[in-house]
Amino acid sequence: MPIQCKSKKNDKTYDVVIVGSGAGGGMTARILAENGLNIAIVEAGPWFDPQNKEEKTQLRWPYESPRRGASTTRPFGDYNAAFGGWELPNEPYSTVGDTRFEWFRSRMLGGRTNHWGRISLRFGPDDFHRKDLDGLGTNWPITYDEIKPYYDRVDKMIGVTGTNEGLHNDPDGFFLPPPKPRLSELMYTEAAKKSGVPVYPSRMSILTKKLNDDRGVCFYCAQCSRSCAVYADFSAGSCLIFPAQKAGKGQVDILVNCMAREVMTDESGKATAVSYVSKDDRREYEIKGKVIVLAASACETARLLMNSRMKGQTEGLGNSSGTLGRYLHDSTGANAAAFIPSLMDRKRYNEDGVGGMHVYTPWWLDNKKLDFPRGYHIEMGGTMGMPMYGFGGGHQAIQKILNYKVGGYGNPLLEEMKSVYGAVFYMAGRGESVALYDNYCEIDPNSVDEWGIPTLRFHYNWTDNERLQAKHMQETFRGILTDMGGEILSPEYTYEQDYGLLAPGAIIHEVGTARMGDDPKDSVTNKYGRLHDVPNVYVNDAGSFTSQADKNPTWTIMALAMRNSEHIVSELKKMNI
Amino acid sequence: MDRRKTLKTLLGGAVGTALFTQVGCKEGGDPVPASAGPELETRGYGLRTAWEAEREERINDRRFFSDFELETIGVLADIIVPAGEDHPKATDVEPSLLEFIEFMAKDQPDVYQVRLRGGLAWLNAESSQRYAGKAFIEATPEEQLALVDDIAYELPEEEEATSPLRTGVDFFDRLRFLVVTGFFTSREGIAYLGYVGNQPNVWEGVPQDVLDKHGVQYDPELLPKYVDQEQRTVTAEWDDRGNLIT
Repeated sequence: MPIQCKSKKNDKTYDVVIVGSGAGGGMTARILAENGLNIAIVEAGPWFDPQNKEEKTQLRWPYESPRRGASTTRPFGDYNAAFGGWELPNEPYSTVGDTRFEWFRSRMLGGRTNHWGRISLRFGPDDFHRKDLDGLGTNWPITYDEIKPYYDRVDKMIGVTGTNEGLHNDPDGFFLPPPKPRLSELMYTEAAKKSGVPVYPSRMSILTKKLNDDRGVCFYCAQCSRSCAVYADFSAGSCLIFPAQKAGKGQVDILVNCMAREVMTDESGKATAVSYVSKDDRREYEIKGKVIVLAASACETARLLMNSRMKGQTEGLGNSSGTLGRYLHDSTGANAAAFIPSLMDRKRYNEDGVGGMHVYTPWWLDNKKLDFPRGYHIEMGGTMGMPMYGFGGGHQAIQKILNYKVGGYGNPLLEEMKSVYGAVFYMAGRGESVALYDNYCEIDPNSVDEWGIPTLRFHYNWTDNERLQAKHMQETFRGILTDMGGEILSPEYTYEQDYGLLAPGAIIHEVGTARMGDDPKDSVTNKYGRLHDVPNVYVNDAGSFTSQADKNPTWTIMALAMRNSEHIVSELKKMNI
Repeated sequence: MDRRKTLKTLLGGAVGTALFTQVGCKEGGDPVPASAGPELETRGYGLRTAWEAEREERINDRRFFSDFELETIGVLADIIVPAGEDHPKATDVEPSLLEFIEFMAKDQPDVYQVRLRGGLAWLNAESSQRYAGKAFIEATPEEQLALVDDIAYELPEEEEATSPLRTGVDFFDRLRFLVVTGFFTSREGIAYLGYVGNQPNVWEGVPQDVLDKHGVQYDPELLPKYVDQEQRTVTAEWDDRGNLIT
């Protein structure tokens, strides 16, 4: 069990103090603990273990919630295992002018890994040097070949479904066998292939087969977003933090409900400690470490550095380049849905399956022949899923398609709804945006949160790079949905409506705020996530990404955190830190 | 609808019962304000943060709809979901649909409160004018249905802006959503719908008769790649090139 801020006055100096317990912090903790280091984790939220019967939401029925699972307090519904959302009470943020950014935060052990989509795509060779290919953005200081061994180890340590297809930029790995597609996914596969859009078994960090003795095997409830009680999906708590505690080599102290405020530095410019406020008594404490690892999420890590003061620097710790907070970028997202009449009156059977899609479409085209520079992958689905709050809400649109009288009541209406159950199919594109200097977060001089910590202000605009990509998504989706025999339910978006692009931050893949690079003048960390300015501070979350790919960031966060952590072990051994 | 049962359900259930241990105040009276952070005893549907639990306590400590309003909602709910061959009427499903509607009015006040309360008032005024001073629940079942028929369907586009019925149509639409969503998320509604998941199982793929009916099939080349459920409990091992060998 965790130490919950018991160490009021703690004079111990840990080998490493880690801020954050998500994908980056969790992997760091596990690697360091397995190497026998003494570490402390500072986590802003409460302890969470989905195996705990009181805490788990998995397998609960909609009627167990007084709001039937509505999203009043959690944007993905009452049973979603990520406490938090785009708004947190008493922890505000703002945006500059009419720019937009939505910042999803989850304060809890494991952070946002408790609810994510488990879509686990390693970056490909092209993704590390896009500038060479299209002249935009910046190349990473590392290549795919350098990080490939770490991806391979993450595959084997965490588990991911998939198939080796020999694709150039969606590389092979060490996959668990994928589940068979659902009915609507077979229909999608047929329709997509007609348009030359390839479809492959999905790559999800879900255990369809036993991986080790500590974790169970998927029992197909489709509820990964509730965090799995048998640990059959990847959450940082169950797959990284708990094994770190069990490693039994080094000491692992976990301070929960402790909100990090700043990194403390000494006269020589070395970091010495993390200062934090305990949420239990609202008092300030310090925890000392020889090395400080920040893994609080891209924007929270940038905020922490900006709020840290160092002699001779006014713009925050590690920011001599002026790029801290800059190059913030999220995945693009646009969606479309259709009603599929041939799926009316379906035979009932349990098609819950794994949490999310059983097939997916990686980026399949050459951007040189298109009017936008970067690609996207396609997610999709449509099942006879568990009815939750909202059920029946879209029925009138379907009545219009079927030329039924719109509205109604009584048993005829109920029969209609029963008949179209499981007949709606959606498609979603998740694409790469181009990182820009002018998309950034910074400290808002006029605002603090309830812990007295200065808050963030965002400045973010999409450009035609993203808009034209979203236009391509919409055209592709409408074509495939129509080929499936579908009647489109989504509106047709215009250029002025960004072709349905969701707001920056909505996809929760934000990266780039403390990007890595070889040149200290235009990057925050080196290729091991180590601050150019402060030798014993590392960034082990997506803040260090030079660019996002058309992939989800989690697998790369973990591969980099693993690599950075082994670098820390080696540097400590060599007495270089 | 059994009026006494409705009120008892509401009064005995959601209203006036403190479901939580005291929050926001530590033992000994130390007034540490609760925040989104520290965890709290669960109420029975998974961990709630202190902020969520406090909020819910406030919701349950007060009541929004009057008895008269709830009774009217109950009559309308049973018109929207009457008993059928294979399901009970709205006010008979478990857990209570009226309790759910009362909760939602307080959980999402901006969405529901004025629209529902104002709509109920509109309904009673309309009923009173049509039926010699009778409130909706005092009208005969035939009179009630005649009024509902006038507001249960989308208005033609040309009448939308000017129709005297538009408040009623808007109200009925909102209430119908709550009743229908409440019904299909109840035990009986789920059974009626035929959702058979939410339980541990092993996914073997789409049943053959369903594949046949929809004219699709599994790609024979891919079949060997899918999970062999017989081997699911055998620990995964790979060769050096990433081929699964167990």
